[in-house]
Amino acid sequence: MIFGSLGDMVIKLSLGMYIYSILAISIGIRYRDLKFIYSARLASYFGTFLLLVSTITLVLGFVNHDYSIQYVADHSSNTMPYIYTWIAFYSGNEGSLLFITTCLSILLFLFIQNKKLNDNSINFSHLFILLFQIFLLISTSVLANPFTEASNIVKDGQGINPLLLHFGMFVHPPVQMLGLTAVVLPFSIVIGSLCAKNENLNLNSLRVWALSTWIILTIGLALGSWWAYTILGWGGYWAWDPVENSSLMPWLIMTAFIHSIMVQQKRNMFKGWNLFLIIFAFFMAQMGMFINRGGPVPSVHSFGSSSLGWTFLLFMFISTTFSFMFFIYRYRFLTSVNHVQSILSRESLILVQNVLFLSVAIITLMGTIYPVFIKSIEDEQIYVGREFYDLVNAPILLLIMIILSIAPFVPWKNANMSSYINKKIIVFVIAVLLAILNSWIISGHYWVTISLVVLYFSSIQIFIELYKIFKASFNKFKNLKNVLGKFLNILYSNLSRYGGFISHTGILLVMLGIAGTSFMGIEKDFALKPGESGTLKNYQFTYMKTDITQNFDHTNIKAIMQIEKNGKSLGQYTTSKSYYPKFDMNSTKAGILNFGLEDFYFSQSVIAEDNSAVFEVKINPLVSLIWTGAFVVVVGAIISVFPVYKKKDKLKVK
Amino acid sequence: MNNYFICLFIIVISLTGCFYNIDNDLSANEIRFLNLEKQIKCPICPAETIAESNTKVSKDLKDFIKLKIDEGWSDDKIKSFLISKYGKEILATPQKKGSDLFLWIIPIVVLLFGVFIYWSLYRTIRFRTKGEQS
Amino acid sequence: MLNLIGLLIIIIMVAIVLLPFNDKFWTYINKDKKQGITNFIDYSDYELDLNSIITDYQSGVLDKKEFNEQLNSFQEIINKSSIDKNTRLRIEQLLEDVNSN
Repeated sequence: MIFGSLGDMVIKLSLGMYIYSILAISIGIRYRDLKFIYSARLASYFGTFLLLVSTITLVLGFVNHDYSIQYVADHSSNTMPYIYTWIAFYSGNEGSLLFITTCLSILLFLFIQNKKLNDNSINFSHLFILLFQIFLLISTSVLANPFTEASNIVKDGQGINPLLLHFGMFVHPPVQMLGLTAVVLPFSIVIGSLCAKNENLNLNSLRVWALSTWIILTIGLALGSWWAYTILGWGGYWAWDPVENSSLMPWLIMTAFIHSIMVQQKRNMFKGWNLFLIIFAFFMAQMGMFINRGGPVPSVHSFGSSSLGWTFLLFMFISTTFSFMFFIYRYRFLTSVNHVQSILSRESLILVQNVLFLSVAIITLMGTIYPVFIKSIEDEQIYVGREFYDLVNAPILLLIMIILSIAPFVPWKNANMSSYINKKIIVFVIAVLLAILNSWIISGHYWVTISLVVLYFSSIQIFIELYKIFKASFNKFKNLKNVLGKFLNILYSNLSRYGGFISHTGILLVMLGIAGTSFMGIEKDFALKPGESGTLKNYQFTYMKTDITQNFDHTNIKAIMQIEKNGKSLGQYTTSKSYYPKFDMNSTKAGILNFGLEDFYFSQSVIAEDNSAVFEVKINPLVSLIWTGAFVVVVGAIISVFPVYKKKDKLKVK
Repeated sequence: MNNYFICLFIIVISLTGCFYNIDNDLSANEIRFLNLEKQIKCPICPAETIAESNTKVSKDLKDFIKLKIDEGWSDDKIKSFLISKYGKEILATPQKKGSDLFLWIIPIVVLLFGVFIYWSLYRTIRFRTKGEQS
Repeated sequence: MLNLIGLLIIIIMVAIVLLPFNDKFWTYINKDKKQGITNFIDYSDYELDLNSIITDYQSGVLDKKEFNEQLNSFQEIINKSSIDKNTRLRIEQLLEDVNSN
């Protein structure tokens, strides 16, 4: 079969295409020749096409069981259902690299659409994206080529790792990888503009790309935690594992970034700070890719060590060093006339928010690399567990939450502290009363109450603002249809703010869920013989029996529980564990029952010969708020980024 | 007037209730165990505490800890015993003394640095503006 | 077989990237492309200031009294400063719109 050689050839041709593109665009910029610029863009478009062809080729290789390709032999088998080809494609180093380069080629395609040819900020940005793309393609075609020929052709492939056969695996890795890769877009936009000596960079374009990247990263994080929660069996959703951290850190910095570019847009400030942030974000995103690909930090996640990891590390340091040199070189373009005038002002609070997010990112980074540091000094392999991060980051996250409920409602430039307090004190008191009432009803912990205070404080202010707008529309038009029309028109003209409100509310819901599970979660082990029952809070569960089934490639041990809540029977539920002898790996499936906000979670840890089993039983209050909240965050952000191009270039008065 | 509101603020915040009592559902020993199991690393796993891991080794360690808690051992005594048997690497949360104190100082340093960053951005720009506007 | 495909792709590649060097190509794409130039107005910091005041008032963050205070201090500043003509015109226009609402 020709898939291997075809794919290999097409990848290398696409590399050639991109090399031409970067040469052409350099000539076009240097000699102000639009023909070369256009030619470079066409080359990039064709590069996208070629990479798509190579992707399809690899897929065909899987579907046709072409074991002359080493990668196909390593990650699939004759009996693997076709649908798993999607997972098999990116589950290994080589395939995931091809996936990333293809994604980047599509992003580049979208980026250069409809952009003016003589806009050098775009052209320089194009150049920087190409640099990254070429690096990725060279790594792929030379160091980790998915089309490498197998040294001997096997009759049947290795099969796919059973731990990966979960619906979470269908969505989390591709989204996460896409997100990390996408960070190069806002990075290139900023650096590109500076190269073109245009410090009034195209903020609209930057905002769209920064927000879109952030949305993808958010979805990746949420999917990852949710997947871990359902599959790992310990009932938690975040363990501060090095790979988890490596996807969190870029997200944290991008969150800071999307807010501080707002300050640049509205007040023409923070230009240097924004450059620093996006360099740091890109650095972290590359760090994420590095740790994923076999860095020196052990984790449950790693793809497996390879020299590829160190190549990424090298590129990361080179790109960051050049960026910082550039920062110094172009510094005089980055100063502002405007300054932060008062501590209580929107730009000041956004700066505080930035500092807080960065602090969490840096502390997490320090914790993640601390074991590596100690290993090189004292040759001891230590481990920094989640307790450290929980303890240290929690207060900072609390401060962030509080700022979130204050900043959107504080004016730009300056605000008077006593008039602010006068205006908000009543809202605050009402929020506290509502929170106490709410907490009393759900028997909430102190920190749940505090989260509720912040949630209500923010929500009431949002409600008041919307109400005022509605009332103003009402005063202008008496007809209800016109009032609604006017109201929606005003919302539509400021989608970024109102979308932001939705996202903020979503984040507060997530925080509430985290507070609930962290402080009100209950966990206990039960050693039960078949027929025995246990009780935890208002749940009663009886261990019925264990079914052991031998499948052709794994042994499945399924325990059945009869569950009752508040005396009422809910039926039988199962938790299972599968052992795959070929891979010497276990995969668990926990039993999760959801009751609105709360989850009843149980998984088996040990089964003895007499069929007695040890169960970990956990009650996670408010956990559903985390997933719901994340969804709300994404919806809000999508609304916020929605193209309202016509209004953007004009300052407006309604 | 300002002071009045600040006092009100403080009083109201401190009144936000705690309606939740974990003692209703778990005994003191069980609570201690939950805290302790997060602090012990699973010896054979690459990056998990015994709380997260479902290996047999972890289970045995968990049983051991539960036993010793019931026997009246203090948290420190349990941890020291485990360190003597497995080495310092058994601890998942670095101790707040010795060389690991460095890790605990980092957050404080970072936050102080953050304040410094905020203040510099606040002051530097202000300083430069004064020069330009006159 | 493979070499043939490779050769074909290379020919297409070369053909595509040489397109812009042909003048006929430019007349072809100019037919469809709109020559819209996005007016990249270089908003001065004063206009941004005024805009912040207005949006703060519209979203209710500033009440009427504070809004008028801010407007007045803004007026004072621009009366004292030297601003280029176009910017001043735009600012006056914006202030007129504000006052008529």
